[in-house]
Amino acid sequence: MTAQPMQKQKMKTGLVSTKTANLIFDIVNTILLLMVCVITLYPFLNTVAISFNDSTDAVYGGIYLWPRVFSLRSYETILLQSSTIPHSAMISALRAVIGTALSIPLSMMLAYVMSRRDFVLRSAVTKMVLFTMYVSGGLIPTFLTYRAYGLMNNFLVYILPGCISAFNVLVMRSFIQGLPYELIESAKIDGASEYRILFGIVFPLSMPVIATIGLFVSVSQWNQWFDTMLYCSGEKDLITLQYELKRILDTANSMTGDSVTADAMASTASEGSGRVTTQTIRAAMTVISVVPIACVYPFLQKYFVKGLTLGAVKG
Amino acid sequence: MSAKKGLALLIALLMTVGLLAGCSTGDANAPAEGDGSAAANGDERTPATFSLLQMAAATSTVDPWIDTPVGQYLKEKTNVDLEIEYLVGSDVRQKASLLIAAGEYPDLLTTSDASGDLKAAGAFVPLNDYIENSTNIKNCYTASQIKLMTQEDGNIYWFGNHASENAVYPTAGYYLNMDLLKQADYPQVTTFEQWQQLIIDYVEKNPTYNGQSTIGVTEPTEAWRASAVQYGGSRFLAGYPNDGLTVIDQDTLEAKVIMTQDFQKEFCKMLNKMWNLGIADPEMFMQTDEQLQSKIGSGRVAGMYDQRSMISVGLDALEANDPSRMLVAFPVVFEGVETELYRGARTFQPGFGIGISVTCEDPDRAFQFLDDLASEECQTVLRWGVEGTDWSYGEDGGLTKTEEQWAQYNDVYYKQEQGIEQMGWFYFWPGLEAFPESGTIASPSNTPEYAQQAYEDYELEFLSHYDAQTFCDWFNPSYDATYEPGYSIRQRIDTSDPRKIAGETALTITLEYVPKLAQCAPEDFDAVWDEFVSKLDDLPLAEYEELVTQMAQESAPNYQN
Amino acid sequence: MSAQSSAIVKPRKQIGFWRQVWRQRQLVILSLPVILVLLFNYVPLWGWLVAFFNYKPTTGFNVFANEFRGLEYFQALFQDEYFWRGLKNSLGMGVLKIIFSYVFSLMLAVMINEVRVSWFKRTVQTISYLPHFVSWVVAANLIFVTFSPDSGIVNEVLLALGIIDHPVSFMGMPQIFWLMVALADVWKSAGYNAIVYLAAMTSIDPSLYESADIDGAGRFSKIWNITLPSITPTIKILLVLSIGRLLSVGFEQVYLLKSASTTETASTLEVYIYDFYMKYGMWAQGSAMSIFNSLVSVVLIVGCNLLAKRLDGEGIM
Repeated sequence: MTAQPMQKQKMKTGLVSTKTANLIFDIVNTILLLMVCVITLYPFLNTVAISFNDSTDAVYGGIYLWPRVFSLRSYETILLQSSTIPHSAMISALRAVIGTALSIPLSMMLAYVMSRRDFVLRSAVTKMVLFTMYVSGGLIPTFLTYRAYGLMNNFLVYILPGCISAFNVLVMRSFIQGLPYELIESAKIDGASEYRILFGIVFPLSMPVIATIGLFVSVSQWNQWFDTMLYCSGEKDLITLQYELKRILDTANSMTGDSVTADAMASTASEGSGRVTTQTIRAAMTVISVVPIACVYPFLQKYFVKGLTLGAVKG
Repeated sequence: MSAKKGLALLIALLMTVGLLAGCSTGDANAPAEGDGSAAANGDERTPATFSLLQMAAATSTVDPWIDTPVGQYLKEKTNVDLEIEYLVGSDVRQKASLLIAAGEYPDLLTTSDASGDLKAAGAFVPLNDYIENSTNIKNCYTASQIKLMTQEDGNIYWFGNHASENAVYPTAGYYLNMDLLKQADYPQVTTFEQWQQLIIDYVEKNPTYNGQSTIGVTEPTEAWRASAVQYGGSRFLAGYPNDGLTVIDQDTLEAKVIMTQDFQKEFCKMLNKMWNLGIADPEMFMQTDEQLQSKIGSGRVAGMYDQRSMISVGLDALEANDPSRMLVAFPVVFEGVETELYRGARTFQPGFGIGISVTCEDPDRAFQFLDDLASEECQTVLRWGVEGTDWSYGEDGGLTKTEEQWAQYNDVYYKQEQGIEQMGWFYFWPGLEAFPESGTIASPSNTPEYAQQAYEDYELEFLSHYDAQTFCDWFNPSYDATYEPGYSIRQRIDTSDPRKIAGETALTITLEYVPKLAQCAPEDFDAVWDEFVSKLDDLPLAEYEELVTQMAQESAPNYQN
Repeated sequence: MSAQSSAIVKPRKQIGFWRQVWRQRQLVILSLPVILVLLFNYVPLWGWLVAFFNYKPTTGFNVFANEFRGLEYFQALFQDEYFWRGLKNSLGMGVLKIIFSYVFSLMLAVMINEVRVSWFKRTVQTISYLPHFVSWVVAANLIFVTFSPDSGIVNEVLLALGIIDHPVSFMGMPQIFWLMVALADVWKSAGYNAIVYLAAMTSIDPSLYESADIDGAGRFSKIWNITLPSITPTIKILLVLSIGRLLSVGFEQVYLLKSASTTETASTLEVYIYDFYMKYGMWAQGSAMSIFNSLVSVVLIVGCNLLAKRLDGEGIM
């Protein structure tokens, strides 16, 4: 008789303390995350401030969150002085879009077959993909091989070699493995083909991981310059934005590179041929490269920040 | 059904990619054709397009150079369009290896540090006959210079570089702050000991500046900038000129690797002394070049050794912020050393330059282009800019710039936008000599007119205390070389030569030991030095010295004019 | 045991390998992208031959045109004290980096996942991944300035708080260089790496949390009993992958963060091979090193796989 109210009492205090614990947890969590924000946001804000500062003045140091001597010169240098910038930005965007559009379905195909425990070739395929992460033929042999494939000065060199990344495929596989297997089972019983299961069922359910990998692929495509240097540096039409930005940046060290040339240059240098500071230009480049990603990001972000609704899983 | 659709989509996508690739490669071949409109001034030259790889980073942020007024002018004159590629995110060695492995080169290419490798790979067309039959180029080189450019196999593969010199500021020296010099009543600084004492006294009297501690001595130590402490600073103290990793005896032409020499030990001892006195930069061995430039710009640095062109970023900032603390270079030597050779030899450098590659489809036309560029008109435009805009003819028929045009000439950004002095590889006519027709010195910065307006007021005021006209006055003048300088030899040796690798590897080890030498207690110094020397013992440095000696001696006859 | 069930458990033995392949031909077709991997990752492995010859780029594909040197280059590496120093540094930095970046990015993901206010969650997530886009050159400079003994902010704060009585040159101390590299890596990539975990967490069935709430489970208990176990496959695969890359510390990062005074502990294998060989175009030694790296990686990854199988019955291969 009296036992029931007592139990209720107990539950109530339990609830209250859980609530307080929750509150404390939230507060501590929020504070910690705010600290993370400060630490990770500061360098970026600092970069923005420097990018808008006069370059000679920036050498002096001590710029934190606001430019001391405001100047747009760095942006002008990057955006106006090089007539190749718009075209190279287009190439970069193209490779990001096409590269991602091709990489995602192909990687998903592999991830799917690797997730199928009953697939006879599963282990072989997995090993083959996995070990690509750890083996490399070296710079020159790889270069010669791709060259023999006819990929010199060819847009495909941006797309094909990096299309399948072991890391991406394995992350996708573990996501697919986390999906309820009954869905695949029941589809099979319904007589669905493997293609249909993959593209009709697994694909839509994997949007979070697809968004993530899509982001990774497009970001790395957008930031690439090394393959341009190797395979397309002689072809003006295929130069990518990051390559062009790097060219402008390297100007700073043009006299130097290494001490061998530095010595020789010192004895040929005439007045006025000194180095130009590119600290601010570098900062402006960072800002410029982030802008397009920042524009696309919110569209992808919703997939990996919000949880899937249960309905989606069941549907 | 939908699987088929999916596959169809994929195939479609692949085809789009293929098409795109096709398009862009297709475009590539197009410009070679319909470019005839460039022949505006009725030139009889057939229009052509050449690719040029500059084996160095771009010197200008303005791209492409050919679109600048100077580039356009030359394009019209020569009827040649250039597609210039620079070194981007790659070192010379890597780029050269890729070209060599592929066996395919741009039409024109410059060699810089990879001369030896490219030559060995047979990348260049011999130029001997071309030069003999040229209109302009043959007038640009003396017989002995031609001899210097000729390789062991009797062929010339690339053009060398003419001597140049900076008449306004010395290229290297031991720097002191103007404020320090003012407080010391403008002394003539000649010895290393004096230089050190001035710094020690100054820091004692002025421990801080603008609320921050005064930096007695700092040096660049970031890997690519560390030559100052590895070997660059000490050789001058012992009275040697710049000869790369080695010092070369001026009489016997015998080469010695600097890193283990006693004078290098003395230099490190200075760092050790300053460090233990607490007046050396605490960050000296962990700073980036950018931090160093920033320190220089702040005016806190009392003294340092470096090459001027390397610290120009910091000096520009200092001039803008605080010119009264500008750094001034002095030719200090050890007590007992009689002559200093800081400014070194004016010399023709055959070690690197521009050449025509074996895969160039029309080497005749390519050479014709270079020959056209070697004309006085083109050489003038390359260095002086466009007539009217950047210079005009004076009363005596020579070239002259107005005050405003000189100011523009001093503005790095303007020069980049205009395209002036951006293509050093094309300087066929010697910069220190007068053009045959206009009679003006080829390089604007070496004209008397330039010297007259080169200095700011604060600099003139400073110079008046020394009764001097230029900052070079207290340095010995440069002189004509009597042998191929060591830095040129260093560049010319095949990079895969184990002797060269030994020398360069020794540098890597030296950079690791300089901080140890500087930071140890004074009584441990000798022990650390011995340990360092023993680390270098395994390397065939003696053979490297022999090689340099031999090359310097072989070159000597070609330098006797 | 009926014939039917044994057919499901051991299909290969029953039907035969090739028939099974034929039966799963749709899956085989879906495996075709492996051709790309073959062409672009495995064909270039002929380059390993380079390690056994005195290779000159002039010879191009024809490695055999060079002088055969056998295992000479491997021996030279293993006899070099700088190689062993590099190996030690690579291992030290690699282990620290894995631990730090792994723990911190997982922690960050869990913390972000626990945020209930949607805009704050998205903002934190966006901000924390920003450093990924700041290049190492910019980042390295910022790190040097922040930790500078010459009025860097960290030293100023520590001095003001009385924790130290004279400035410490954090970036100049060989003793803590490994740690600084690991921390720099966390700062730059934890937010970016957290995205993978966040994506995995989205597939957790919300009803699990709901029923835990009814049981009165605390937040830590839910994290420990629901969140983490649900993303175990992801956690496992990332750990194994990163262990396989133990020796690849990241050349650019280390090269930019190291300085003359930290050479002793900062020279990783990658720095060593660059400074002593690649700079001079000594491709054979470079190739020997790359083979060594691959072997170590494969041994590590196979070991991890075995261990994983031992522990919970399922490896990653």
